[in-house]
Amino acid sequence: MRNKILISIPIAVVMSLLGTAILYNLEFRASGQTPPPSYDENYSFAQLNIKARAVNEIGGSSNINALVDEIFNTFSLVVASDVKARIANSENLYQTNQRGGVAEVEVVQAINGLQAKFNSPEFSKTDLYEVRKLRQALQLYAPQFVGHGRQSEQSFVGDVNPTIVPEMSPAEAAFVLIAMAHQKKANPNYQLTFAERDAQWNDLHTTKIGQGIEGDPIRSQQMADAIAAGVAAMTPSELLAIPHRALDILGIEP
Amino acid sequence: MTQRVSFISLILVVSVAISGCNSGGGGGNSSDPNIGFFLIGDRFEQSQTTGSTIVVPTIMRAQGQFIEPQGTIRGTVESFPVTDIGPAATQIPGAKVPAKWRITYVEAAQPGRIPCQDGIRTVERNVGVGELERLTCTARVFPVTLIPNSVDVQSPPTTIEIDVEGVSNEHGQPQVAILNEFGQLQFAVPATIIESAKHRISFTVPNMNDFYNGVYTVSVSNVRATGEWDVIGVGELSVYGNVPPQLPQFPNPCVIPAECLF
Repeated sequence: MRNKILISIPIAVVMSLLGTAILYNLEFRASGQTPPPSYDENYSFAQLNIKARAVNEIGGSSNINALVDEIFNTFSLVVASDVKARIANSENLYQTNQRGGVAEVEVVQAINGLQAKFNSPEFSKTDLYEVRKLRQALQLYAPQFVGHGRQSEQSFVGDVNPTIVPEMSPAEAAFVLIAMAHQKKANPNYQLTFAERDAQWNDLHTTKIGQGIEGDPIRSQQMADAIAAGVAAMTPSELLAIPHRALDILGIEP
Repeated sequence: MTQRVSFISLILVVSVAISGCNSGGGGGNSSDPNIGFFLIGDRFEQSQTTGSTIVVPTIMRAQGQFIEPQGTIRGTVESFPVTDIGPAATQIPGAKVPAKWRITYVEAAQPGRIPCQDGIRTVERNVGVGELERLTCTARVFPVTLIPNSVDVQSPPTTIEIDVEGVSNEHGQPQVAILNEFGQLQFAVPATIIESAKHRISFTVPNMNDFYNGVYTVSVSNVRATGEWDVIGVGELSVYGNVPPQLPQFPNPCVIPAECLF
């Protein structure tokens, strides 16, 4: 009798595991679909979204520091710690309602200032439309961070507030600036002069809705050449001053 | 054989402005007979439309083979073995240039990222002296899927369904908001969770007569106990049927140079 019980225990365990698997399978079938991919895995901005969620839900300087670190990780940039500290400090002030947000025009000023500094091609300039377009694209990947603002700025049921907060947190502004600089180097959708964008506007709103711009690799090379020439012409101290000056333009506290 | 570009130790200390430098083609002296060329990896992260693609740096595993000269050749190196390229520009010193090169590459596995869908790719490139060649790949991600994802405003569907993880009606119906390409809210409506499909919601399509051709942003939010929205996902909706407005013109904010001066 005792032996029978002993034998039946592993069988019961196996059966219950099988049963669970079958039930799980049935539940999946009942849902009629596989779940959508999670924001928390599988793509380049997942960690950014996770860390932004921690800032929104828990707050605190350690979560803010982790978010700022992730901004630079996302674009594989290693940066001096005082630059990160400056952004984190400003973000902390913002999240605790001790300072306002950063206007999109300040990102435009920083990018266009860099264009002048490096004498890079005309297409590397930007404007408000392009910054908003980039924020909306980035919001697809990191909705807890881009366009989010403070948690207290989120809409309430019955509100008619926009759901993309016009002013950015300091960390978002730094991120959008870095992202825009990178798109200007490598993304054909952002390598157009204003006149070229104007010329393509109709196509992109009639026959090519949602489609990207056909890339011209020469543009990326032109950007690389301009940056390399700019770097070669500047002193190390001039170069080291650039990120801090960019943060100055964004209005991020020293 | 290859050597990571070191000319920009600045990359290690400079962030925003110098983010461009790590693409550093021509980072060496172009009169250097051994300059070869540079490679860099770019990952095109794509959601529903290609217009919203974002490019981020990535690491590629690449090997290359010289094919034929295209002018007076510099350098002697005719191949390079499997090498990790990126995230900064990576030099192939001494490579024969200008020349046609065949480069085979694949995105290196990186934690938290699905690999690009392209798999192993082989490209042939005409490479100039000290030039930067971008090795690209595409990752398609759909954290939020709309069904249907395009609408003709002349005959819109009655409802649209959205697949999004984490949707909840614990403190009220999830909220769906649609914004135009300028980020202006077009409407916000409550959505219903489709009980038979845990991750799917449905909302009634409002009057879309004023929507014009283009891509709209659709955000889905849960409602918190406080009544605040908590955005859990954002997708895209392509709209057809009405003439779009003109591209808005924004003044250059750098007319006072001091405000933009570096």
